[in-house]
Amino acid sequence: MLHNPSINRRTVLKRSLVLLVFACSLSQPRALLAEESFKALKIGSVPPGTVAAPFELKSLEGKSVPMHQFAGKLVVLNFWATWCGPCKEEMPTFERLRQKLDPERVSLLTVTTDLQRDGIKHFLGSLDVHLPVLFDEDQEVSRAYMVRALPTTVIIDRQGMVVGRALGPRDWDSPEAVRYMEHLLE
Amino acid sequence: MNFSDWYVNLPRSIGAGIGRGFLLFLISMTCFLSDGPAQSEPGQVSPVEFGEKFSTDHKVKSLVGPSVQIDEQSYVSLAWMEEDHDVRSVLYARSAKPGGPMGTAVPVTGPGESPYWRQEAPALVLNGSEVYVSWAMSHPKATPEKPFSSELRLSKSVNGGQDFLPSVRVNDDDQVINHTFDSLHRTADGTVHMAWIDGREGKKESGTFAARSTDGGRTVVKNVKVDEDTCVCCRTALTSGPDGTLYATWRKMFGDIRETVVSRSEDGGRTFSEPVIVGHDKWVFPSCPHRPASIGVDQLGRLYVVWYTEGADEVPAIFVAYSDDRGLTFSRKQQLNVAKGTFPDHPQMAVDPSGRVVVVWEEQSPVRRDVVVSWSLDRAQTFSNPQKVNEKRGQTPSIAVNAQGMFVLAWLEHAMPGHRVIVQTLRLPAVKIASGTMLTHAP
Repeated sequence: MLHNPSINRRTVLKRSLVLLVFACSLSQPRALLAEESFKALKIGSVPPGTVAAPFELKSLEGKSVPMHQFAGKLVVLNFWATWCGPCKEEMPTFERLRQKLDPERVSLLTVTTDLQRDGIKHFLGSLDVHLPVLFDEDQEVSRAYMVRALPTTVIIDRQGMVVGRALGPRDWDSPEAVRYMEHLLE
Repeated sequence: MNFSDWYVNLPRSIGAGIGRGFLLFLISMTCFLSDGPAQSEPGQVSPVEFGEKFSTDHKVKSLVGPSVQIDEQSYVSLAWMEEDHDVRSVLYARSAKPGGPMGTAVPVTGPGESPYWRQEAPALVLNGSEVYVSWAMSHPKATPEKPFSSELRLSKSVNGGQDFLPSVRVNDDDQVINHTFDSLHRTADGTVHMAWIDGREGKKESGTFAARSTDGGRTVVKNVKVDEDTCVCCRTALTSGPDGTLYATWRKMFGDIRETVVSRSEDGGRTFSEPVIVGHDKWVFPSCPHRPASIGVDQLGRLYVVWYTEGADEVPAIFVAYSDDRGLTFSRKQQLNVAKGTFPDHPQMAVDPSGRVVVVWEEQSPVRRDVVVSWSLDRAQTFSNPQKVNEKRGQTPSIAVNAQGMFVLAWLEHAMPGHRVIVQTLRLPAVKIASGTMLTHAP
């Protein structure tokens, strides 16, 4: 094979271009898909750098659950109450979302100001929902996260920053929601 | 600026020097509300007379409420729910003297009666020495499949709240569903009216129902359906006019739009009119606002409504409007909240016969929760600047007025490791209304 520097340069340029196009073809749709998922889910944006308010709440089992326990994970906080119909309707979608995501990297937590412990236990059991329930008895955490209505879902990235808020119920196991979560895990 | 924009822009407003850390942001928020009631200029007569504050500490795990009423001698009544050591109770207390302090708490609930929890404080009305309290009880037939269900109960005392008779069931269906977000009202003829929300028809959305007791709370008549497509967690409210017209208000769903509506009954609660939208807020909100409206009527029959909405532009606001044609049409709505950097919440209103209107509500930020009060001496044409009344973090205000025009406020304050209930009376200057007659006692 003859060594021709000009051909070699052209080849390198061509290959680089092809690689660039290929790279763009990979990353652009992903970004676009994530963006579309964000829009489809109607997630309210939060300014970059909004640090998630720390909390320490009691679980259904009475254990203390501090926020730092989830450091490095994507955290989805779902605020709900037993009297809130839309909250109860969307709960199974969270369970299905949980099953689709890596528990080592994502934690889905439900937070309630309600105190119907036994009822909540039965309710979740009957729906085969295995999400942790945290009790915000003094409503301090709800207030810190500016929860104005139920359900409200707050998404906290792996760096502990609030990256989205959803007011009202969503299909959390929809392809858009899964894609959105996966995008946040990238 | 809507709620999302407000929330998004808050950390920016703090300034780059402070950074965008959430905690610092929370701390910064504390400077938004002014402290304490507005001070009068030297030499000026205070426009109102706030009574002494009386507080009661409740060293219990949780407390929901209070609801407040004031009798014709200005004795104050309170009802609330408590939970301690996993036991929940509805309690009542009456003040030892006019205006306070509060006397010993008396249980309203009997043995084995466990209130459903947290959705609302018990409703309270007085009729001489009779005290009526409505509250939601965890449904005795609740099953693991239907755990979130409650019966609506009516409790009565015939001795000024020294003790309470066994409660009676208000809802006349046996379904294991929720019957709650209730309101109580006593009309001049002594009838006790109740309204609430339940889903007995099995439709996707719940309905507003009403009932009444004409025999002093011993029995409750057949329940009446007032309307359907009721927003499931915004409490109902009732009042009546000088002509006996009964009014009910609640939040109605028009698809995802939430509107405060009013319906009237001209036959003593047997039937109700089609609901009328009060503010045409066009608030699109596919979830539970959990924020009730409040209503009152003056002696000329003007019906006042105060409510919370975020409107089409999603800006949290408290509005008042009135109707001079018994709820057929409403005046232009007037916004009451003026504070920047906090959200108004949970408005409650009391109207005295002469049309003096007092509205109390919360102003909230992530680190602060204040109770503010504003009043009108001209039948809701103009309102005073809101004045803060709480000292520690305050919430869930309630207000009532007696026929003499003595208002009483009650709210909850945090008093770690417990809760503090505060009561305070408020007397406004006398006013004249259309007839030109002095209708209320001068202070």
